[in-house]
This record gives sequence, C-alpha cells and structure tokens, in this order.
Amino acid sequence: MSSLSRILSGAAWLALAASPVMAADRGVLPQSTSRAALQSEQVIRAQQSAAPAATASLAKELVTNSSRAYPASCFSDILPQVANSLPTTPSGTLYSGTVTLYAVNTADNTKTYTEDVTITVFRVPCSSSGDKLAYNPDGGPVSATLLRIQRASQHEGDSSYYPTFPAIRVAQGSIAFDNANFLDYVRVAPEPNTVVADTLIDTSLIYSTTFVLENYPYQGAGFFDFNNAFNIRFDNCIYTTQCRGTGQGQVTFNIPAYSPTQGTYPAAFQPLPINGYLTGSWYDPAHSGEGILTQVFDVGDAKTRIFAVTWYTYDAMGLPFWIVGNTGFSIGATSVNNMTMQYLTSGGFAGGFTPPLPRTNWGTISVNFPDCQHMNFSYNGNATAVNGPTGSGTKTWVRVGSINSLACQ
Amino acid sequence: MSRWLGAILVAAAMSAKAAVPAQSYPSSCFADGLPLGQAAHDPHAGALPLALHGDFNACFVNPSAPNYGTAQQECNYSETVAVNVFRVACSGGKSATLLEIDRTSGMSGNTDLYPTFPGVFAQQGSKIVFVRLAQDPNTHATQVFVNSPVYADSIYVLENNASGPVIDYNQAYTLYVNNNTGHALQFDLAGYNSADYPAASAGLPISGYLSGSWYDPAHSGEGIVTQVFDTGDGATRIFAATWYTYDALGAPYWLVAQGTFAIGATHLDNVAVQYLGSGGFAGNFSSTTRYPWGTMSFAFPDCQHMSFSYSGSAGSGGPAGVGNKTFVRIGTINNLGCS
Repeated sequence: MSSLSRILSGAAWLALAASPVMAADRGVLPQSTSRAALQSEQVIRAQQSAAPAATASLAKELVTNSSRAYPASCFSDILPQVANSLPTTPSGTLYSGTVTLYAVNTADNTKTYTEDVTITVFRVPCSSSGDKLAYNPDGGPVSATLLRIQRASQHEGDSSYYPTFPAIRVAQGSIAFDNANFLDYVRVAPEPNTVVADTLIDTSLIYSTTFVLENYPYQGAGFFDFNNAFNIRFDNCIYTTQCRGTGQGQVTFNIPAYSPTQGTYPAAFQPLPINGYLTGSWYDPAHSGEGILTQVFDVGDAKTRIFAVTWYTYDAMGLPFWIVGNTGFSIGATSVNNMTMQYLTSGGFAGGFTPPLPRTNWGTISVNFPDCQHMNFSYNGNATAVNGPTGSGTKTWVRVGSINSLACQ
Repeated sequence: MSRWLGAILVAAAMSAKAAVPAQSYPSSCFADGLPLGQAAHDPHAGALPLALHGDFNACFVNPSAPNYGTAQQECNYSETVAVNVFRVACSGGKSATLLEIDRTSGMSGNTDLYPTFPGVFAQQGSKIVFVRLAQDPNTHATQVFVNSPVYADSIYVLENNASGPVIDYNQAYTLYVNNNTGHALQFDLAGYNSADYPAASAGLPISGYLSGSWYDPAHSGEGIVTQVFDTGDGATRIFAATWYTYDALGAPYWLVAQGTFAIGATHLDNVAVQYLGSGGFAGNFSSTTRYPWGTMSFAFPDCQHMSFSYSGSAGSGGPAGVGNKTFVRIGTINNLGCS
C-alpha cells in the first residue's frame, strides 16, 4: 500500500472501534498539495477565548464560570496519577479511530507531511446528584469527555517529525458542522478546570496527550452538553481550502449519550472517593437548625488524608451542644467507618478555661458520599453523663451551599 | 522557516508525563482570576515597547481563499505593543509575576491584523528556562505558545515547567521577551519585598481559601470553623462561621455567624451572630428558635491567621463576652490549600 492510498483510506475510515486501533503510518503528499487557509480558522478559535474589550475585566473565577462542561471536582483523584490531571489510559466505552494529521518534518519543509495517530474519545464518570446545572440541564448522569491523541509507540517523543493538533468541531442539536457563526468550535484543554486555556490548531504533538472537551467562556460561542449525544470531527486542514466543509482528511466520530451501566462505568455507581471537595455543611431540610460540618485535610504524605466531623446539635434540654471526631484514611477510600466521636467538658467561652479539657468518647459515626450533594451516615453514641445528645440511627443529609473555589457538583 | 520556530521551541516543554511542576505562587493567590491592569499597584513594574510580528500562518493562506488579501497583510504585519512585567502580592510574603501585553491603542480586538506571542525566557543565576505562560491561574500543563495570535490586551502568569530547571520568581531574575527577529526586551527583577506592596499587608480578599478551622494554640478545645460560599451572582459571597465553645457550666455550646459580602472585601464588620434553642439530637425536634447573640467582625491578615472581635451574650448561662482575638489555622483542606 502506498503512503498516499494509506492516508486516503485512513481519512475515509469513519467507523468506530471498540478498542483503540494503533496507527503507524507516516507519509508525504505530492508537491502540488497545499495547506489550507489556517489563519481564518485560528482567528475564530482564538477570538472565542479572547475577551472582547467590553468584558476584559470579566471575572474568570472558576466556580462562577457558567461555561463549565463538567464538575470541578471530577478530577481530584485520578489514582494512581497526580491529582487534578487527566487520565493517560482511556477507560469506559471507547470511541476510537485512526486520523491522519498534518505533520512537521524538521528535515524538510518543502513538502507536506502527515502522520497517522489514534484518537480515542472517552468519558469519565463524575458526581451525579441529579442537580440541573448549566452543563447538565436535564439533571442526568454527569461525565467529563476526554480526547486522547496517541502517537504510534515507535514515534512517541519524536520531535524531529511530529504531527500537529487538528481542527476539531462538534455538532450537537441545532449546531451543525460548519455553522455559519462558528458555533461548532470546541475548546480543548490539556488539563482539567481551566477557563480560557485552549489548544490551537497546529500545536505540536510530540507526546501522546489527553485533552478534555470544554466550552468557550464567552457569549456568542457555542455551548455543548457533552453528556448528550454529539458528533466530533477532526480535520487536518490539508485537503480543504478553509478547514471547513466536507473534505478528505476529515474523520467524524459519532458519540452517543453518556448512559453508564455497572459494566461500562462501575465508578458511577459507587460512593465518591473522599477528597477536599467533600468539605462542607450538611443538614436535614426537614430539621433545619442542626447540621454537620465536614473537613478533609491533607496530611502531605501523598497516601492519607484526615477526615474531620463536627456535629452541631443539641443536648437533652434543647440547648446547643457539639460533638467532634477525626481520623486518618487512605487516599482513594470511599467511606470512613466507625470513627470515634468525642465531646469536651469543663470549657469556657473565648479561651476562658485551662486546657487540656477532658475528652469523653461519645460513640462512633460512619460516613460515605453517594454524590456531591448527599452524605450518608450512621451514628451510635451517648453523652448521658452530661445530659448531652444520645442515640443511634442512619441518615442521609444534603449539602448546604457551595464553597467558593471548591465547588463539588 | 520561521513558521516552525514556535513549534520547535515548545517541543521540549510539552510533555505527556503527568508531573506537577514546581509551584510558582500560592494557589490561593488568584481565587478571583487574572485581572488586567494590575501593573499600577507594583512600584517596580516594568513597561517596554516591543515590535511583534504578524501571524506566520497567514503567509501560507491559499491564494484562492477569500481572505488572501488580508492574510498577505498579516503575513507582513508588525505591531508595537507594550509589554508589562509586574508582581502581585500573595499571602505569606510570596508573590506571583504577571506579564501583560497591551496592543497599540485602538487595535485591541482587531483580528485581521494582530501581533503574535513572543518568546519569553528567564535567567536566574546559571539557570535559563523557556517560561511557561498561562492565561488561567494554577495550571500544570497549559501554556500560550510562541507565535500564537494576540488579539486583545492579554494577561499571563509566569509558571514553571514540569521538567527542567525551576525558577523562584520571588527571587531576583532577568526576563527576556523576544520578538523572534533578534530583538529582546530585558526586565531585571529584583527580589520580591512585600514591604513595597500595600496589598501584602492589607488583609486577604475573602475567598473560599479562607474556609477552614481556626483556634488558639494556648486554649485547645475551642475553635471556629469558617466557610465561604458562592452565591452565584458574580458579585457577592456568603461568609459563615460556627464557633465551637462552651457555656457558663463548661458544657459544649455553639454560636453561628453568617453574612453576605461583596467579592473583594478584606474584612467583615458586625456580622450578626445567633444561638439556637429548642433543638434536639439527630433531627429529634420540630423546629428551633433563633436568638440574636451579638456581632463579630473578621479579617485575615494572611492564610494562617484570622483576627476577629466579638460582643454578645446568650441569655442566662450561655457564652457571653467582649474582646478581640487572633486564631491560627489548623491544617490544609485538600484541594483548597491556602498559603
């Protein structure tokens, strides 16, 4: 098979495979092949990231970013990887195919080169509390959608001949490919929880990289719910004059709606790993005035964290009373079990006492979080010696509010 | 060919390995994003003009393309921009360095003719690095590449790369901003001295990073838990504090303070404090009664200290008093490290 025919077959190959297909080929196109008008493509894409003058002071605060595509809390524990990075190994249902990308051959800039890569679109499950949010207007299951560009192993890291980032468009609902107002452009970032970071066409791809699909933050840009079905198109911009319209070198994946099952996304059906995002206030809406504050602290050893609970409740006379507990746990754990709770006595107000105060074991509490908005817990203890809170049971309480810079959704 | 200069330069910096680069500034420093125009607050800010070339990609536009004429202009375009390099004060005697590119007057937002991003290098002692510049704070991997279009006045924060030498941007260093035609600006930054920055001693703007537990090390067993909530309106936040203390008999007793404030506020004054009665354990009550206790005022001189004053009483036997205190933070909340 000649290089050219190989490239053409790669470009025409639209089917989705269940597992990644390793692409290997490189090629050079005939001398007469010219590159498309990249500039107009770049202009529009970068415009969507550049705030117009009128909104230059727009707060880029992460949590108030209404263009968010997934919960900020989704990538906090990408074990065994570094927290808040993107997974390097695709998981769940994979949508994968070979795409022929434009390539740079630093030894020869007189010809148009290409390299075949494997692009895999996949999703990771996020907390799914049923809340209707900007990125999830129907309150359905929530995921983040990732895109892995994998170079063939023999080319990985080759910086003398390497492919470049394609033009990527998304069609969904009323937004079709080649939308006249460029609403089909999609922001693609190499790390989670950015607001404006983007990957421009022709960015060098020396190493295989995972990207996350995002929305552009400014009015007038397209907006996608990546949990719903969409089509995504990759274009190497070699064959088309404007990187637009139908042409050779384009590959389209049809991505169905995110619909997790126990088999495809088991993590979607388990409690959340306990991390800082589960710091917060929890209460029973039917019994306002009582609540639990949770805090998740770093230990700094990269293996454990500390989970702390303060239950602000009442004694047998209806007066305010609090009980506390904390324990270390392994990073990745999805529950804290039989944690000892204590109460303190002989205290005073505003430092009007002499420590250490006597600590009395109250009992235990066990906690897990099915999603960001709910805390399940069971408790069993008594403070009868001081006429304090006493009892046992199981409850599910809901979160109060969203902590700034730590929005768990 | 010039076109590939940027791509080659970034090749070394773009790594797929999920390494975390050395932190350049406290993650809590930009809870409100990167704002333009902050150079005015830095007495040592540098501002120099630099002619930046147009987009080399434009030189490759197909002659049959409708924008060919404009593209040819852009291919040969040059624009003199103002390059501003300055520091902003963070908590704990640390700073972050920002680079702002302001286009020629009247040109910001022009997308037919525009300059492209320069090469930026830092030298500190024997270390020379290609600086990673990002438009989002607290990133590990994103960066703006050389030769990327600069359409509007733009602000970038200086970051370290995941591999290679690490620059301590709080110490003295030299920043070179290169326009790719042989001319480079040179900014000689002295070591950061927080005394030169009024914001460093003005108290921290109250953000989620000031959520946490605070206590007096001399009186362990009593504390205040603070939480800062978003309201979602982009203008205000809610501050909530629960004081874990004791009544006159020495039994556990809690007070709650809650108030709404404007984003950017560095102190909260006379926040209403309440205590509740008629409650029960684990939901074993019909409704509670809320009583005014008094007021508290809060400020955070840095990430590790909370200064507050209080004045109030809780009827007979409840906590009562007037005073001022400074409590210190306990621990670091995962994903919300304030430093």
